Amino acid sequence: MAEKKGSSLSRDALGRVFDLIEGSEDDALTKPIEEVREELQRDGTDTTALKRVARERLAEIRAEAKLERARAERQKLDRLRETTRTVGAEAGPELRSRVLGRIRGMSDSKKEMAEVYYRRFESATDEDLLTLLEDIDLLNAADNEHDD
Amino acid sequence: MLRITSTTIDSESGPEKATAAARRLLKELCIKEPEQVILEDIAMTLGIYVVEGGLFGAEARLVRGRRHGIIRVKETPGELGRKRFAVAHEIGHWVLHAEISQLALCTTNDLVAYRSSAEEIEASAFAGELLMPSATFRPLCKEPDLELIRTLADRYKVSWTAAALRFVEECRQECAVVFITDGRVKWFRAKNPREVFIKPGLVIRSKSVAAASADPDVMCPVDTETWFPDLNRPGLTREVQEQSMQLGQYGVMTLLWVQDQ
Repeated sequence: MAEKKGSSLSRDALGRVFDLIEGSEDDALTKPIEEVREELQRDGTDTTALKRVARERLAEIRAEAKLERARAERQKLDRLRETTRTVGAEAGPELRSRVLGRIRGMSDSKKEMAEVYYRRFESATDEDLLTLLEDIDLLNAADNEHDD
Repeated sequence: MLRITSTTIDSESGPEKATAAARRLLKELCIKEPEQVILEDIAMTLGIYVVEGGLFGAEARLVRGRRHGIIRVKETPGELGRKRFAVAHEIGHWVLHAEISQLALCTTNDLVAYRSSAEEIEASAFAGELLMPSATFRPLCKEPDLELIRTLADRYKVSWTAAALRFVEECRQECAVVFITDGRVKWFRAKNPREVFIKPGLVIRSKSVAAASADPDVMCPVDTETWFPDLNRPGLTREVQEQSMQLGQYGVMTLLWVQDQ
């Protein structure tokens, strides 16, 4: 995450908070919030600005954790894709009906719509249909794994 | 785009809503700089897995499952910007059109919002904001100039066309981008289309810079009538400047700058 420009003052303020906490860990956890605020203000810390900076930093930490989880999930799906791919079909006369079957499976409550969609796909090449089949199988596998 | 339609579009839908949704996503992920826009990661935070290749009849395809989605994007060697816009566009469909698209298949025309449906325009507005956020892009939009647009395209890792379209939206100057193939206007986008309008299909005039084979480094003044026969009115005289460049096999992109005299 990129460091914000002009945040050195805020870092100083955060540093003072950490000093306060490290100085007496139990105190920091048990002290009433008003007392902590007063102590920081006596030390010349703008607590409103500090709160904003702390919120921003917290949001950055949360975002970074979310992106990290996403990268891990992506790697998991890379591996799952290798497994589902081996089950894949080959181009041929049965391919279109297999794709239709999968689309129907995806849209249980919307069968007529699935057929409309499939009709629009009649002009699709076999290569595109093969990867569509692969994608649907991977989605089903990913959703099932998530359910487990 | 081909899709299954199961409900009507939200009454609050529109490019503004799409732009706001992209801003929320960027804010949630604390993304402030262009180099942080890693689409594969952003998509995965929403449950969408991005795959490249194995698609020939469209630019990109979105398949929506119960929890996850897959965006498959056409392999376009050497055209990273085009690929990124296609992925961002599909993320837009995922975020904005959950109720109306289980599967989406987008062509090149869908992506440039050329004669597109409302949903395509929304998905492209979402992509524009995700890849080129107003907050950082707008301050860089100085005087209209294709060299500046090329620089912006490099910085934001988008195609020249996407950067030009965004430039026209974000620049304070009255400008328009025109895309020409085989000597005719294929599409155009202006900041203020009620004032500055060019009909698609128009045969470009020989006096235009676009008709010349050279790519000038700077904006060149052209007769107003070259592009806009009805632009000047009694009491209002305008000057038009033009700059064009060849976009490989695709055609010619022209940037027009209209100023009051």
